[in-house]
Order: sequence, then C-alpha cells, then structure tokens
Amino acid sequence: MSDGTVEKSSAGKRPSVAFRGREPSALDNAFAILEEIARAGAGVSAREISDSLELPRATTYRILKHLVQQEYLVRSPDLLGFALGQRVRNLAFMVGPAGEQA
Amino acid sequence: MPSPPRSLPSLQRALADPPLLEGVRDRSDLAGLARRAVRPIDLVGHSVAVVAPSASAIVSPFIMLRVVGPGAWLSAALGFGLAFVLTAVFSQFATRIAAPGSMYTWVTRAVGPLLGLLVASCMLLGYGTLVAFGVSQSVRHGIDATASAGLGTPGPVIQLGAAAVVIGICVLVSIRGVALSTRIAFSTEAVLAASLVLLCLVTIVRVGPALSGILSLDGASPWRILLGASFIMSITVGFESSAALAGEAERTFLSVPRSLAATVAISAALYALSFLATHAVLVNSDEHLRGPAQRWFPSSFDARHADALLSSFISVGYVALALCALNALARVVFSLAREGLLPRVLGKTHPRWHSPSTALSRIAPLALIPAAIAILTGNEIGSITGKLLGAAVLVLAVAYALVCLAVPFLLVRLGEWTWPPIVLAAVAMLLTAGISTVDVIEDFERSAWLACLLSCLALAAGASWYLWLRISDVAVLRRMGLHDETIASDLLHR
Repeated sequence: MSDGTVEKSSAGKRPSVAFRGREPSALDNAFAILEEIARAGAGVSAREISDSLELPRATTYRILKHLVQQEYLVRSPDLLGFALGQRVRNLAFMVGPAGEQA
Repeated sequence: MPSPPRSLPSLQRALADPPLLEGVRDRSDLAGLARRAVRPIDLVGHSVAVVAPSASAIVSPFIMLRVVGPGAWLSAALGFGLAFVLTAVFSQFATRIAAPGSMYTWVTRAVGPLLGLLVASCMLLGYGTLVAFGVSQSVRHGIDATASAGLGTPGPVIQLGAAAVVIGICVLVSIRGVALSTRIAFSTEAVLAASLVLLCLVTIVRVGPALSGILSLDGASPWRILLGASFIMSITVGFESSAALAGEAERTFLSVPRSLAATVAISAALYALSFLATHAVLVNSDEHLRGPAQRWFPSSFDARHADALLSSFISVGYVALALCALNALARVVFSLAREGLLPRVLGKTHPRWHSPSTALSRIAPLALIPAAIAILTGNEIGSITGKLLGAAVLVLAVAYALVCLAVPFLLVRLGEWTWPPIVLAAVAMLLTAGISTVDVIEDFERSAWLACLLSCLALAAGASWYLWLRISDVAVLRRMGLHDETIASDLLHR
C-alpha cells in the first residue's frame, strides 16, 4: 500500500499481492483504514471500508478488530459502523506538533 | 516495495473538526458502573477464580484416572480443547459487544429476545448454582480442615452461620467495588496456583517422574473417554464469567477475550501438572491405601495435617469462586433490571463505589438456601449443591450451544461474516452438544434426571418469560440487548 492505499482505491486497482494482515504493511493498511473512516465519515461499515480500499474482507475485519481493541476506533451504538476514537488524538499528540496543531 | 502514506488529509481534518456520530449519547443505559476500572490481570483472576482450577486440580486427576482409566489424558485433551474452541467462539462477541449481560446480550443482539431470554434463564440458574456451590463447599472443606486439625466438627447452626459469614464477606467486598474484588480474586488465585505448582513439583521429585505409559490407550474405552471429557467440561464451566465485567474492564475488547483464553490455558496447565504428579504417585508410590490428601505428602507427614492443609487450600479456592460468581450473577441481574425485565430497583448502583449494590445484596441470601435445606434435612452442607452443580453444567452447556448458534447471525447482521468463525462455531456447538449428550445418556442409565429436569425448567422459564412480555410489554422486548455502547467521550473529540 502506498500513499498509497487511498490513491489505489480511487483508481480502482487491487493490490498486486494477496494481503493477509500479518505483513509489515499491516501498519500501512491500519493507517489507510483510519484515513478512510475519516474520509467517509463516522458510521461507515466494515464492508464499505473493505470495498473502498479494495482490501480482502478478512483482512479488513482483522485490522478493524485490532484498532477497536486498541481504542483507535469505536463502534456505533448499533454496532454496524465505525468512528474514530479519542485515542487517535493521543496518537496525533505523540507524533508531534503537527498532530497537536491539527 | 510500497511506500508508507505521506499524508493523511482526512485524518488531519477530523482532528481539527471532530465528526459527529448519530445516536451517540453522553451516558449509556448502564451508567453507574465503574467504567474501565478493572485491570486486565485482575480480570483474569476473576475468571480463573470461578473455574477454581487449583482446588479442582487437587482431586480431579485422581477421579479421572479412576473413572476413565487408560485414555484419561485424551479426555482432558478433548475437554480442554472444547473449552479453547468455545473461547474462540465467544471472542467473536467479546471483541464486539461489552455487556454485563454477556451471553444473553450477545444472543439477543444476534438472534433476538426469545433465544436471549432462554440464555438469560440458563445463566441465572447456572451462575446462581455456582455461587451456592462456592459458599457451601467452602464451609464443607473448612469443616474438614478443622476436624482434621483436631478442633472438632462444628454443629449445624455454626455451619450455617459460617456460610452466612462467607456470603456476607463476598457481598461486602463486591459492593466495595469491582477493582477490589477482582484484585482479591487475582491475589488469591496467584497464591493458590503457586502453592499447587510447588506441591506438584515436590511430589514429582519425591516419588520420581513416571512418564512411561502415561499416554497409553491400551484398554481405553471410547465411551469412558467421552465421559471424562464431560467431567473436564464440568470443571471448566464458568470460564466465560469475566465477560460479565466487560463494561468495567480496561480495554474491554482486548482484555475480555484474553481473559477467557488465559483462564482455559491456566486451568489446562495446572491440570496437566497435577495429572503428571498424580500419575507419578499412583505408579511409583506403594501408598495406595492412603487417601487423596495424604497422597500428596510423604508417609512421614501426619495424615491429619495433610488433610487439614489441603482442605483449607480448597476452602479458600471456593470462597474466591463464590465471590467472583456472585459478581458475575449480580451483573446479569443488574443488566436484566436495567432492561426492565426484572424490578428496576435491582439496577441501582452504589453512588460511591459504582457496584451493582442492590442486585448484590438482594440475590446473595438466596445462595444460602441449598445449604440451609441440606442442614435442616440432616445432610452434609455441600450435599445439595454438589448435585446441583452437576445439573448446572448441562444448563450452562445449553447456553454455550445457543451462543455458538448465534455467531453466524451476528456476523451476517454486521456484514462482517467470513467462513472460519462460522465453521468454528458449528464445530463448538456440535462438540458441546455431543459431550453433553454422553453425560445425559449416562445420567439416564443411572436414573439421574436432575440435570435434564433443570435444563428443561430453565428453557421453559425463558420461553414463558418471553411469551409473558409479548403479551404485557412488547416494548421491553424491542429494547433488549443493552450494552456498554460508545458514548460521546469515547469518540474523537477536542
């Protein structure tokens, strides 16, 4: 995934290598999912995220589950959608002044 | 190799202007509980306490080797294997839904209120029996300890008083707060587990290891192996109880699934070590006439002291069981009350310690009823709960099977289904049903019908509950499934 995943997604291309969510690029995919949820808006579903990023569903679900467990994401009250969690702000603060300014 | 993202423009915009999520409120329907107060390690302590692996590992391998004979190890592998599979299945819910109602809320959210109420009935009966069992067995083994120590056997009134003291302490500690009760459970289980490990290692060193033939299947009976697996299921039942604390756990979607897996892993490891020691004692020791307690100690050790020591050990384990099972039961009752399915007063929380204080104090006395009946009818204090526990295992197994059945419905409803968890749930349901059926057939052959009767009663009560609500208050049914939903402070905000 590159600059990545969002560009590929908008171009409608599938990743050339089957992705299982266990490679180092899982981190890139996690950021791509965070970015996609920020772009699509709070309440976007797992399937919509998978379709937009053209990631395999199992991979998307696995990364979503991990991000929810770490509280970077939260589920909507009806459990169907996802939104950014407050821990994303903590991450932004840790990254540095740019995140803080944002 | 792909390059990492250079910028995250949408995230930057979201940080600057956090988006709103429709339906998110400032307070959840479960407000009042101590949200995010339980450390992950204490959560493991709670779950382990309900299974009481240290107490059961003292006697279980002896029972298994005597009842199953060759192949007892295979029974254990099957039983603990089933528990591991169930853990994986329950994690499908525990990573998505944090609810004090745990299993009944999971099933309600997936399939609807009818099956949810069936599971709720099974949980009330199952967890209630675990509390009563913990109380009466702690007193029973305490009596054994005092008798062995030469302090005499206390009379019925003192025994009942001791049971009241045990449940009273459990209530007070639980009301004082979930952080304290889970910390006590963890500390107790850590000491008990360390003691058991020490006892096993010393025993193996004393009598010498005996690995030859330990995995032999010569003369093994498939039926007895399956019966042994059902026995292992009975000593792991309740491993999911920490899920009832999900609304109060730190990083709940991570800590609850891990606590379930850790509980089964710790129980299996303690059992395996105890099995090794037991096998070594039976093979290498010529002390077959000695009782189970004395087998753990050298012949020079006073038999009465051995009994007193191990009885005290088991008694403490059962007090921890009563404490943690009471906490789990109180949260199920609290959840049902907040849903409007039980009197609303049971949904009150303590203003300072944020525990479900009314549920705890109102249901705890019920745990004394079996002990009181046993004493009043001239029986030993733990006689009734011992039988009830065997029945409660089947009741909870029914609940487990229904949870497995609900997995595909939940995943399809959320649009998150894949084949592996659905296949795993099907395997878990078939294994649970199969091993339970073996137990039921064995019960019928012995003309023992209590487990089936209680299971049927629990299911009939759940179905009647549903029908009554359909007639009297259908709105309550529509609202069922309260969980610790996302609140405004969880969302990205300024």
